[in-house]
Amino acid sequence: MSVKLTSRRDFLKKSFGFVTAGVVLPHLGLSLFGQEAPIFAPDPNNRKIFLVIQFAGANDGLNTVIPYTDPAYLRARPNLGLTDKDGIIPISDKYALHPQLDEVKKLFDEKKVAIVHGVGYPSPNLSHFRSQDIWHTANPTDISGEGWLGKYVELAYGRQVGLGAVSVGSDLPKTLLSDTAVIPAITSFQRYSYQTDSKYTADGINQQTTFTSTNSASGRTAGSLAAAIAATGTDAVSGAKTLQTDIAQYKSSVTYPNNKLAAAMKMLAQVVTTSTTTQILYASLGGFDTHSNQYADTKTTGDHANLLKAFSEAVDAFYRDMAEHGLADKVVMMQWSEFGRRVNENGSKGCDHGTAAPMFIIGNPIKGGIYGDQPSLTDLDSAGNMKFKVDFRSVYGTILDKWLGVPSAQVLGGTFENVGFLG
Amino acid sequence: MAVTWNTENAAHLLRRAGFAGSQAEVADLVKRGLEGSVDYLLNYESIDNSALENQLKSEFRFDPTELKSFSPSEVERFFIFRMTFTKRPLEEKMTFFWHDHFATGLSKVKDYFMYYQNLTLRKFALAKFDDLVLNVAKDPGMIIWLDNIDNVRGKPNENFARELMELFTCGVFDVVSGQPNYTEDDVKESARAFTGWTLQRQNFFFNQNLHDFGVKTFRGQTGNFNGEDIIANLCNDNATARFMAKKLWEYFVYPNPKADLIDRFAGVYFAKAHSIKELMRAILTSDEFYSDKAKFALVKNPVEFVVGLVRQLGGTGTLRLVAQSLSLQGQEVMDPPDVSGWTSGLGWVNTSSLLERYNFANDMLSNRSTSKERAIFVDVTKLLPPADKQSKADVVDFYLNLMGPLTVDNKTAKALQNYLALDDSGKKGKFKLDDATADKKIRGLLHLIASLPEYHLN
Repeated sequence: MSVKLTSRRDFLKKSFGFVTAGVVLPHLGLSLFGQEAPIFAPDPNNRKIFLVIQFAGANDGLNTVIPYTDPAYLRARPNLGLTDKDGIIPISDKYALHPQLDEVKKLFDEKKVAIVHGVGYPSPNLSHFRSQDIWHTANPTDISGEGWLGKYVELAYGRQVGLGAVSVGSDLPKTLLSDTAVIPAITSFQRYSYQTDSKYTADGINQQTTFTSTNSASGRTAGSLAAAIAATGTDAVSGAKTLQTDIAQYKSSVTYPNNKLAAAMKMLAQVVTTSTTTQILYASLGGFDTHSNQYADTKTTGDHANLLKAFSEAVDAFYRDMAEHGLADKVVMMQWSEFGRRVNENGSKGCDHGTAAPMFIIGNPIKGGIYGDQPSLTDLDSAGNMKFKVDFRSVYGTILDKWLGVPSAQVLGGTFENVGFLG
Repeated sequence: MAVTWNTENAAHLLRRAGFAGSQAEVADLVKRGLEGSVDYLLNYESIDNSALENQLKSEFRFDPTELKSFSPSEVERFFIFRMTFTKRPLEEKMTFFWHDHFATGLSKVKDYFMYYQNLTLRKFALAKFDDLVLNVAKDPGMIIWLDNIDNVRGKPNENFARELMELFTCGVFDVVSGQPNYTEDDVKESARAFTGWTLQRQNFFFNQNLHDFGVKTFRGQTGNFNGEDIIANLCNDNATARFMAKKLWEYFVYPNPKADLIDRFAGVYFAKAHSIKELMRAILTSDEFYSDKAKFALVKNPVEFVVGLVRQLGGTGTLRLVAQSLSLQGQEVMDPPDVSGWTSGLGWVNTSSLLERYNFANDMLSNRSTSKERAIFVDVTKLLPPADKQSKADVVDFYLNLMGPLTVDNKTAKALQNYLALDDSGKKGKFKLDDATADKKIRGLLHLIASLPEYHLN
């Protein structure tokens, strides 16, 4: 299969040359080349739901999981550093959580949160865009391919994904890019349907049928841009009908907080609780590029604090919603960011691009606790950054092998050490 | 190889060097010839745009002395309004390209600074590249966006210095050789050169007290460099010429140009003293630009889709709510997702963005009110085919030409013809073009054409 995909990608490059720096590889919906039938079909009676939460812009890991007893921390960050006085939340004799992570702390105490320390990859790249692509594709040397979960989705669903994977946002994240499968990206439920002239509702049905016949790709060259757009358009219009029917069933007593991430996670909850085939979910939160004004008047307010608060509250609401729907045992959430930030603060109440950072993996199936150690704050690389301890592909691999049930090598192209948070 | 100058090529030029247009605009370019058309589009200062300027004056009451007269949504609408109703398509297309290139956004930068940056981008849109980069670097929007306001001696902030190289000039790797263009040390050293570039009362201010006058080593050269020196160094570098030649080519012509083509246009950059205007002239008059490889080889970005649709159909209105739809299509004007700008190609295509494109076309075509509150009004009675060309096949052909010209396969054309004859019970009836069918079926047909995959190609 990988041979097929590679050769098709080469074919596409020759034909159109889509691949440009930092940009996307297409999902094409070509049954001619694509994986038709699923290989590892998810079992609807034993759901393994996986939610990815991206922190875009590079989260300051050192102020998220704080090595508060390491004197090097405050030496490097005399202004930016957080202390007892700021209300940091100790979780061990070495580490404390940012003061705004109350809800995460509660789940941590219930042993539902794994914190993996020092995650990164060899020869770190300090460009946001390149590093994001590296994480999306799980490939530090070639970022031109499919997303790692795009590959998984092909294995799990074949070409017909339906609502098997869903992301919220106006762009489909590269993690979910697939050469063969159309994975829905949803911005707004209200606009998520093929609308027609309200003055002539009966003729609207004619428009729907004509849309379908004009967009059926048979008359278009396989592999062409037009064929790709037609395939996505057709799947969008038919998928939207299913989605609207499904989400109308959603009921919940959970009130989500008022932030962008929570709004996205509520939409995902509406889908995952009403559509039994949905397995992979994706949401992201931007604004982590805190070169300046990371905090405001006090250390526990301002940009970074607000983002972490949004994350903590959104996770809490989503978790409770899943519990209410009997799905709490079926959901794993994974947070990631393209890299951490520099150990030393800069002069702008912020910090510059760094390398390794912790990740949160959350859910009932998770064996909670702290995995690995904080990289040294003094034994740094030549650019003044920490040396990573855990390859991010180990985290992906653990999830693929131990949760999604797919041999990780088929997705990652290699084997990486099991981190252990899923046994 | 001589390019045959015809409607197809003129429409192609207008889609790429502008945002498509009416059949009259295309016909005008056909008359001007290839060189004449490119010259006309490039020398836009001599095109009378007073109708737009007058409209802008009555629509937008921005007052530089009263910063509260600006608002984010109005600043967005201002730019969309200009792109939609300008008589100088290339001026707006270049401004939009630079907005994507120097991607700065309302998420961090105040509305009035975004407005002023937009004026700067327009003013230098076809200037010497060095002048554009320097003026953008000193423009308050960028000073804030990439934190140079916090970049001070002893405590440099690397944000601007890094993106200046990575995204605005040379790129991380040479786009031809693949060699790295700079090191992490170059980022740190050039950040020092921009220390003290800050603002005072909303204007650029060089604060000597905050500037690091020490010696810096940048890309192998050592000296007491300031920000101007760094920009001059980068703009005179072959890696930058290649990076910009490739970027412009991929935006205006087709993706993945070969190395020799990149070097040919990098050569134009140097031969014409870094003039963007002359580089654009070379691109827009090249044989490759009119080749089959270039035709419909790009995916329209949401602005090209929306603005093009309004321009082709002669839509009028306040364009309120358009920014909102663009945002759902993945392109919030004046607020790109991050400093790397927007995506391209099939990056624009996902289920949500396509549904929103179809629905935008439907909203626009099913609106029959000229009320100021309604965003856009299209008068279909002004867009009807001539009286002797009103068979189903003629009608479909007429609108495929109006919207392109678009070429579709036989099955698609037949399905569109069939739609014209379908009655309310979905059965095939007779089609006759009269006022009632124009209101129903022509609007419906235009919506269906706007929902064809071919319409989303540029």
